[in-house]
Amino acid sequence: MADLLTELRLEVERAEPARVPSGTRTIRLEGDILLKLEELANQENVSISFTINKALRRHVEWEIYAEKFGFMMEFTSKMRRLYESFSDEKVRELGRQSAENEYSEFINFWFKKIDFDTTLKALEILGSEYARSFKFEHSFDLNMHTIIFKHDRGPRTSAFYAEMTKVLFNRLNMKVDTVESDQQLTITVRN
Amino acid sequence: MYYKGTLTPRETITRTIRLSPEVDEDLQQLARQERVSVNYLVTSSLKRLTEWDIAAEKFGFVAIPGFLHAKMYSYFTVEQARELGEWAAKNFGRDFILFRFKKLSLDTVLETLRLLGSRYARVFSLQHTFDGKVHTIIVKHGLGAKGSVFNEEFLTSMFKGLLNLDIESERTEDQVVIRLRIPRETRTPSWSEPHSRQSFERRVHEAIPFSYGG
Repeated sequence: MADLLTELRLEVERAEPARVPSGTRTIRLEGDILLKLEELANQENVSISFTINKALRRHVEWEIYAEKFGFMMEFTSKMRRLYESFSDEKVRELGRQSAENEYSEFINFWFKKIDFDTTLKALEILGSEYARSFKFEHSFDLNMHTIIFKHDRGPRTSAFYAEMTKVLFNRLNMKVDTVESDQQLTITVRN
Repeated sequence: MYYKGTLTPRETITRTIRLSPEVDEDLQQLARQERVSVNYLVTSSLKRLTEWDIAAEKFGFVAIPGFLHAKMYSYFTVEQARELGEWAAKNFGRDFILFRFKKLSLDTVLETLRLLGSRYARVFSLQHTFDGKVHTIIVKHGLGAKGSVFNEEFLTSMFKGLLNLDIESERTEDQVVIRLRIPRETRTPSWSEPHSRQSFERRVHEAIPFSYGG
Protein backbone atom coordinates (compact mmCIF):
# COMPACT_ATOMS: atom_id res chain seq x y z
CA MET A 1 0.00 0.00 0.00
CA ALA A 2 2.79 2.37 0.93
CA ASP A 3 4.61 1.52 -2.28
CA LEU A 4 1.48 2.26 -4.18
CA LEU A 5 1.15 5.63 -2.44
CA THR A 6 4.79 6.37 -3.13
CA GLU A 7 4.42 5.57 -6.78
CA LEU A 8 1.29 7.70 -7.00
CA ARG A 9 3.09 10.63 -5.45
CA LEU A 10 6.03 10.22 -7.79
CA GLU A 11 3.67 10.27 -10.73
CA VAL A 12 2.16 13.54 -9.51
CA GLU A 13 5.59 15.05 -9.09
CA ARG A 14 6.64 13.98 -12.55
CA ALA A 15 3.49 15.50 -13.99
CA GLU A 16 4.11 18.83 -12.27
CA PRO A 17 7.86 19.36 -12.32
CA ALA A 18 7.64 23.13 -12.27
CA ARG A 19 5.50 23.22 -9.16
CA VAL A 20 7.47 20.70 -7.11
CA PRO A 21 11.09 20.78 -8.27
CA SER A 22 12.97 17.79 -6.94
CA GLY A 23 15.81 15.43 -7.75
CA THR A 24 16.27 11.74 -7.11
CA ARG A 25 18.81 10.21 -4.77
CA THR A 26 19.44 6.54 -4.14
CA ILE A 27 20.06 5.63 -0.52
CA ARG A 28 20.75 2.44 1.39
CA LEU A 29 18.60 1.86 4.45
CA GLU A 30 18.59 -0.82 7.13
CA GLY A 31 15.57 -3.06 6.81
CA ASP A 32 14.04 -2.24 10.19
CA ILE A 33 14.13 1.49 9.48
CA LEU A 34 12.38 1.00 6.18
CA LEU A 35 9.68 -1.15 7.77
CA LYS A 36 9.09 1.47 10.49
CA LEU A 37 8.94 4.22 7.88
CA GLU A 38 6.41 2.24 5.92
CA GLU A 39 4.31 1.73 9.06
CA LEU A 40 4.53 5.43 9.88
CA ALA A 41 3.60 6.49 6.36
CA ASN A 42 0.61 4.16 6.46
CA GLN A 43 -0.54 5.56 9.81
CA GLU A 44 -0.36 9.12 8.52
CA ASN A 45 -1.74 8.20 5.11
CA VAL A 46 1.20 9.71 3.22
CA SER A 47 3.92 8.26 1.02
CA ILE A 48 7.28 7.05 2.34
CA SER A 49 8.92 9.72 0.18
CA PHE A 50 6.92 12.39 1.96
CA THR A 51 7.88 11.01 5.38
CA ILE A 52 11.56 10.80 4.43
CA ASN A 53 11.61 14.34 3.03
CA LYS A 54 9.96 15.68 6.18
CA ALA A 55 12.57 14.01 8.40
CA LEU A 56 15.46 15.25 6.27
CA ARG A 57 14.09 18.78 6.18
CA ARG A 58 13.83 18.74 9.97
CA HIS A 59 17.44 17.56 10.16
CA VAL A 60 18.88 20.34 7.97
CA GLU A 61 16.57 23.10 9.20
CA TRP A 62 16.56 22.38 12.93
CA GLU A 63 18.55 19.52 14.38
CA ILE A 64 22.03 20.53 13.36
CA TYR A 65 21.56 24.05 14.73
CA ALA A 66 19.66 22.97 17.84
CA GLU A 67 22.41 20.55 18.79
CA LYS A 68 25.15 23.11 18.25
CA PHE A 69 23.29 25.77 20.19
CA GLY A 70 22.58 23.44 23.10
CA PHE A 71 18.85 22.88 22.92
CA MET A 72 17.67 19.92 24.93
CA MET A 73 14.35 18.12 25.09
CA GLU A 74 12.14 18.23 28.16
CA PHE A 75 8.66 16.87 28.68
CA THR A 76 6.07 19.56 28.84
CA SER A 77 4.55 18.65 32.20
CA LYS A 78 7.96 19.01 33.85
CA MET A 79 8.37 22.45 32.31
CA ARG A 80 4.98 23.43 33.66
CA ARG A 81 5.96 22.21 37.10
CA LEU A 82 9.31 24.02 36.92
CA TYR A 83 7.66 27.35 36.09
CA GLU A 84 4.87 26.87 38.61
CA SER A 85 7.35 26.19 41.40
CA PHE A 86 8.64 29.78 41.15
CA SER A 87 6.94 32.90 42.47
CA ASP A 88 5.41 35.29 39.96
CA GLU A 89 8.17 37.81 40.67
CA LYS A 90 10.93 35.24 40.23
CA VAL A 91 9.58 33.85 36.98
CA ARG A 92 9.27 37.37 35.52
CA GLU A 93 12.87 38.10 36.49
CA LEU A 94 13.89 34.85 34.82
CA GLY A 95 12.01 35.88 31.68
CA ARG A 96 13.78 39.26 31.55
CA GLN A 97 17.20 37.72 32.17
CA SER A 98 16.62 35.04 29.55
CA ALA A 99 15.67 37.64 26.94
CA GLU A 100 18.82 39.64 27.66
CA ASN A 101 21.02 36.59 27.55
CA GLU A 102 19.93 33.19 26.24
CA TYR A 103 17.27 34.30 23.77
CA SER A 104 19.40 37.15 22.40
CA GLU A 105 22.20 34.65 21.89
CA PHE A 106 19.74 32.34 20.18
CA ILE A 107 18.64 35.04 17.70
CA ASN A 108 22.24 36.01 16.97
CA PHE A 109 23.31 32.39 16.56
CA TRP A 110 20.49 31.59 14.16
CA PHE A 111 20.24 34.80 12.13
CA LYS A 112 23.54 36.67 12.79
CA LYS A 113 21.69 39.90 13.63
CA ILE A 114 18.94 41.14 15.91
CA ASP A 115 16.10 43.18 14.41
CA PHE A 116 12.32 42.93 14.34
CA ASP A 117 12.20 40.35 11.55
CA THR A 118 14.79 38.03 13.09
CA THR A 119 13.21 38.36 16.53
CA LEU A 120 9.84 37.42 15.09
CA LYS A 121 11.36 34.53 13.14
CA ALA A 122 13.12 33.29 16.26
CA LEU A 123 9.84 33.22 18.17
CA GLU A 124 8.27 31.42 15.24
CA ILE A 125 11.03 28.79 15.41
CA LEU A 126 10.40 28.28 19.13
CA GLY A 127 6.74 27.74 18.24
CA SER A 128 7.46 25.51 15.25
CA GLU A 129 6.68 21.83 15.01
CA TYR A 130 10.37 21.23 15.70
CA ALA A 131 10.80 23.05 19.04
CA ARG A 132 7.15 22.97 20.17
CA SER A 133 7.74 25.46 23.01
CA PHE A 134 4.27 26.83 22.23
CA LYS A 135 1.91 27.17 19.30
CA PHE A 136 2.72 30.39 17.49
CA GLU A 137 0.27 32.67 15.69
CA HIS A 138 1.13 36.00 14.11
CA SER A 139 -1.00 38.56 12.29
CA PHE A 140 -0.40 42.13 11.19
CA ASP A 141 -3.06 44.78 10.89
CA LEU A 142 -2.91 48.59 10.84
CA ASN A 143 0.66 48.91 12.09
CA MET A 144 0.07 46.46 14.90
CA HIS A 145 1.47 42.96 15.14
CA THR A 146 -0.52 40.49 17.18
CA ILE A 147 1.39 37.44 18.37
CA ILE A 148 -0.11 34.55 20.30
CA PHE A 149 1.77 31.89 22.25
CA LYS A 150 -0.54 29.01 23.13
CA HIS A 151 1.42 26.95 25.63
CA ASP A 152 -1.10 25.24 27.94
CA ARG A 153 1.37 25.32 30.83
CA GLY A 154 -0.15 27.67 33.38
CA PRO A 155 0.08 31.32 34.46
CA ARG A 156 3.78 31.34 35.36
CA THR A 157 4.70 30.27 31.84
CA SER A 158 2.62 33.18 30.51
CA ALA A 159 4.41 35.52 32.93
CA PHE A 160 7.83 34.23 31.81
CA TYR A 161 7.11 34.71 28.11
CA ALA A 162 5.42 38.09 28.68
CA GLU A 163 8.56 39.52 30.29
CA MET A 164 10.78 37.86 27.73
CA THR A 165 8.93 39.35 24.75
CA LYS A 166 8.74 42.80 26.38
CA VAL A 167 12.53 42.93 26.68
CA LEU A 168 13.08 41.56 23.16
CA PHE A 169 10.80 44.14 21.49
CA ASN A 170 11.35 47.09 23.82
CA ARG A 171 15.03 47.20 22.95
CA LEU A 172 13.98 47.61 19.31
CA ASN A 173 12.09 50.72 20.47
CA MET A 174 8.72 49.09 19.98
CA LYS A 175 5.74 49.32 22.27
CA VAL A 176 4.59 46.00 23.68
CA ASP A 177 1.37 45.08 25.48
CA THR A 178 0.59 41.62 26.76
CA VAL A 179 -2.53 39.83 27.92
CA GLU A 180 -1.77 36.82 30.08
CA SER A 181 -4.05 33.90 30.74
CA ASP A 182 -3.37 30.47 32.20
CA GLN A 183 -2.83 28.74 28.89
CA GLN A 184 -1.99 31.52 26.47
CA LEU A 185 -0.15 34.79 26.02
CA THR A 186 -1.33 37.48 23.60
CA ILE A 187 1.24 40.10 22.62
CA THR A 188 0.65 43.26 20.63
CA VAL A 189 3.66 45.08 19.20
CA ARG A 190 3.64 48.47 17.49
CA ASN A 191 6.15 51.18 16.61
CA MET B 1 11.39 -4.24 -3.89
CA TYR B 2 11.14 -5.59 -0.33
CA TYR B 3 8.53 -7.62 1.43
CA LYS B 4 7.41 -7.53 5.04
CA GLY B 5 8.58 -10.61 6.84
CA THR B 6 11.35 -11.40 4.39
CA LEU B 7 13.68 -8.56 5.37
CA THR B 8 15.74 -8.92 8.52
CA PRO B 9 16.47 -5.76 10.54
CA ARG B 10 20.15 -5.56 9.67
CA GLU B 11 19.73 -6.23 5.99
CA THR B 12 20.01 -3.13 3.89
CA ILE B 13 18.02 -2.18 0.88
CA THR B 14 18.53 0.52 -1.71
CA ARG B 15 15.71 2.90 -2.36
CA THR B 16 15.44 5.82 -4.72
CA ILE B 17 13.71 8.83 -3.21
CA ARG B 18 12.84 12.26 -4.53
CA LEU B 19 14.27 15.15 -2.56
CA SER B 20 13.65 18.85 -2.90
CA PRO B 21 16.77 20.55 -4.32
CA GLU B 22 17.20 22.69 -1.18
CA VAL B 23 17.21 19.71 1.14
CA ASP B 24 19.56 17.78 -1.14
CA GLU B 25 21.95 20.74 -1.36
CA ASP B 26 21.88 21.26 2.41
CA LEU B 27 22.55 17.57 2.96
CA GLN B 28 25.52 17.62 0.60
CA GLN B 29 26.94 20.72 2.26
CA LEU B 30 26.46 19.23 5.71
CA ALA B 31 28.05 15.96 4.63
CA ARG B 32 31.12 17.86 3.40
CA GLN B 33 31.34 19.84 6.66
CA GLU B 34 31.06 16.78 8.85
CA ARG B 35 33.11 14.57 6.53
CA VAL B 36 30.48 11.87 6.30
CA SER B 37 28.47 10.53 3.39
CA VAL B 38 25.04 11.85 2.47
CA ASN B 39 23.77 8.31 2.97
CA TYR B 40 25.02 8.39 6.56
CA LEU B 41 23.18 11.65 7.23
CA VAL B 42 20.00 10.33 5.65
CA THR B 43 20.17 7.08 7.62
CA SER B 44 20.88 8.80 10.94
CA SER B 45 18.06 11.31 10.53
CA LEU B 46 15.60 8.56 9.59
CA LYS B 47 16.77 6.48 12.53
CA ARG B 48 16.17 9.50 14.73
CA LEU B 49 12.65 9.83 13.34
CA THR B 50 11.74 6.23 14.05
CA GLU B 51 13.55 5.90 17.40
CA TRP B 52 12.75 9.24 18.96
CA ASP B 53 10.90 12.00 17.12
CA ILE B 54 7.55 10.30 16.72
CA ALA B 55 7.36 9.19 20.36
CA ALA B 56 8.74 12.53 21.61
CA GLU B 57 6.15 14.52 19.71
CA LYS B 58 3.28 12.33 20.81
CA PHE B 59 4.47 12.31 24.41
CA GLY B 60 4.84 16.09 24.53
CA PHE B 61 8.55 16.82 24.58
CA VAL B 62 9.56 20.42 23.91
CA ALA B 63 12.95 21.93 23.08
CA ILE B 64 14.46 24.42 25.51
CA PRO B 65 17.90 26.04 25.69
CA GLY B 66 20.04 23.97 28.05
CA PHE B 67 21.52 26.93 29.91
CA LEU B 68 18.05 28.31 30.68
CA HIS B 69 17.33 24.96 32.25
CA ALA B 70 20.49 25.18 34.34
CA LYS B 71 19.53 28.66 35.49
CA MET B 72 16.11 27.44 36.58
CA TYR B 73 17.69 24.74 38.72
CA SER B 74 19.94 27.29 40.37
CA TYR B 75 16.81 29.02 41.74
CA PHE B 76 15.66 25.84 43.46
CA THR B 77 16.22 24.80 47.03
CA VAL B 78 17.77 21.36 47.50
CA GLU B 79 14.42 20.11 48.77
CA GLN B 80 12.59 21.44 45.69
CA ALA B 81 15.12 19.79 43.38
CA ARG B 82 14.71 16.50 45.23
CA GLU B 83 10.91 16.65 45.10
CA LEU B 84 10.98 17.42 41.39
CA GLY B 85 13.32 14.47 40.76
CA GLU B 86 11.02 12.07 42.57
CA TRP B 87 7.98 13.52 40.84
CA ALA B 88 9.65 13.22 37.42
CA ALA B 89 10.49 9.55 37.97
CA LYS B 90 7.01 8.68 39.25
CA ASN B 91 5.21 10.54 36.52
CA PHE B 92 7.35 11.10 33.44
CA GLY B 93 9.60 8.05 33.98
CA ARG B 94 6.89 5.49 34.40
CA ASP B 95 4.56 7.04 31.83
CA PHE B 96 7.23 7.41 29.16
CA ILE B 97 8.54 3.88 29.60
CA LEU B 98 5.05 2.42 29.32
CA PHE B 99 4.24 4.71 26.39
CA ARG B 100 7.42 3.88 24.50
CA PHE B 101 8.14 0.28 25.49
CA LYS B 102 4.83 -0.99 26.95
CA LYS B 103 6.50 -2.62 29.97
CA LEU B 104 8.62 -1.75 32.98
CA SER B 105 11.86 -3.66 33.36
CA LEU B 106 15.51 -2.96 33.95
CA ASP B 107 16.06 -3.12 30.20
CA THR B 108 13.39 -0.55 29.42
CA VAL B 109 14.54 1.79 32.19
CA LEU B 110 18.09 1.60 30.84
CA GLU B 111 16.85 2.07 27.29
CA THR B 112 14.90 5.16 28.39
CA LEU B 113 18.03 6.59 30.02
CA ARG B 114 19.93 5.84 26.82
CA LEU B 115 17.35 7.79 24.81
CA LEU B 116 17.46 10.73 27.24
CA GLY B 117 21.25 10.72 26.98
CA SER B 118 21.30 10.34 23.22
CA ARG B 119 21.94 13.04 20.61
CA TYR B 120 18.19 13.07 20.13
CA ALA B 121 17.16 14.37 23.55
CA ARG B 122 20.45 15.69 24.96
CA VAL B 123 19.03 15.76 28.49
CA PHE B 124 22.36 14.52 29.78
CA SER B 125 25.36 12.52 28.70
CA LEU B 126 25.19 8.90 29.76
CA GLN B 127 27.73 6.18 30.24
CA HIS B 128 26.66 2.71 31.23
CA THR B 129 28.83 -0.30 31.89
CA PHE B 130 28.03 -3.75 33.24
CA ASP B 131 30.70 -6.10 34.55
CA GLY B 132 28.43 -9.09 35.00
CA LYS B 133 27.46 -8.15 38.56
CA VAL B 134 27.17 -4.39 38.82
CA HIS B 135 25.69 -1.85 36.47
CA THR B 136 27.50 1.49 36.69
CA ILE B 137 25.54 4.39 35.29
CA ILE B 138 27.19 7.79 35.00
CA VAL B 139 25.06 10.81 34.17
CA LYS B 140 26.88 14.02 33.32
CA HIS B 141 24.36 16.84 33.09
CA GLY B 142 26.00 20.26 33.36
CA LEU B 143 23.11 21.64 35.42
CA GLY B 144 25.05 22.48 38.57
CA ALA B 145 24.61 21.31 42.15
CA LYS B 146 20.79 21.47 42.24
CA GLY B 147 20.64 19.71 38.89
CA SER B 148 22.71 16.94 40.47
CA VAL B 149 20.23 16.67 43.34
CA PHE B 150 17.40 16.45 40.80
CA ASN B 151 19.14 13.81 38.69
CA GLU B 152 20.23 11.73 41.68
CA GLU B 153 16.66 11.64 42.97
CA PHE B 154 15.29 10.98 39.48
CA LEU B 155 17.62 8.03 38.91
CA THR B 156 17.24 6.67 42.43
CA SER B 157 13.46 6.83 42.17
CA MET B 158 13.54 5.17 38.75
CA PHE B 159 15.44 2.17 40.05
CA LYS B 160 14.04 2.01 43.58
CA GLY B 161 10.53 3.23 42.98
CA LEU B 162 9.87 1.62 39.63
CA LEU B 163 11.88 -1.58 40.01
CA ASN B 164 12.48 -1.82 43.77
CA LEU B 165 16.20 -2.34 43.27
CA ASP B 166 18.90 -1.37 45.74
CA ILE B 167 21.38 1.13 44.45
CA GLU B 168 24.28 3.23 45.65
CA SER B 169 24.63 6.78 44.40
CA GLU B 170 27.31 9.45 44.40
CA ARG B 171 26.80 13.04 43.42
CA THR B 172 29.13 15.85 42.44
CA GLU B 173 28.25 19.26 41.01
CA ASP B 174 27.79 18.10 37.42
CA GLN B 175 27.61 14.35 37.64
CA VAL B 176 25.73 11.51 39.28
CA VAL B 177 27.02 7.95 39.54
CA ILE B 178 24.65 5.07 40.21
CA ARG B 179 25.81 1.58 41.05
CA LEU B 180 23.23 -1.13 40.76
CA ARG B 181 24.00 -4.64 41.96
CA ILE B 182 21.84 -7.38 40.50
CA PRO B 183 19.93 -9.13 43.28
CA ARG B 184 19.37 -12.87 43.28
CA GLU B 185 15.68 -12.71 44.16
CA THR B 186 12.97 -10.59 42.61
CA ARG B 187 10.78 -8.22 44.61
CA THR B 188 7.46 -6.46 44.19
CA PRO B 189 7.74 -2.92 42.88
CA SER B 190 6.59 -0.22 45.32
CA TRP B 191 4.77 2.51 43.41
CA SER B 192 5.13 1.16 39.93
CA GLU B 193 2.24 -0.41 38.08
CA PRO B 194 1.87 -4.15 38.54
CA HIS B 195 3.75 -6.07 35.92
CA SER B 196 4.95 -9.59 35.44
CA ARG B 197 8.58 -9.74 36.37
CA GLN B 198 10.92 -11.78 34.30
CA SER B 199 13.83 -13.63 35.80
CA PHE B 200 16.75 -11.32 36.35
CA GLU B 201 18.98 -13.33 34.08
CA ARG B 202 16.44 -12.80 31.32
CA ARG B 203 15.90 -9.14 32.09
CA VAL B 204 19.56 -8.24 31.98
CA HIS B 205 20.67 -10.63 29.31
CA GLU B 206 21.15 -7.81 26.86
CA ALA B 207 23.09 -5.67 29.28
CA ILE B 208 26.50 -6.82 28.20
CA PRO B 209 29.32 -4.27 28.70
CA PHE B 210 28.70 -1.26 26.54
CA SER B 211 28.73 2.51 26.81
CA TYR B 212 27.37 5.44 24.94
CA GLY B 213 27.81 9.19 25.11
CA GLY B 214 25.19 11.87 24.65
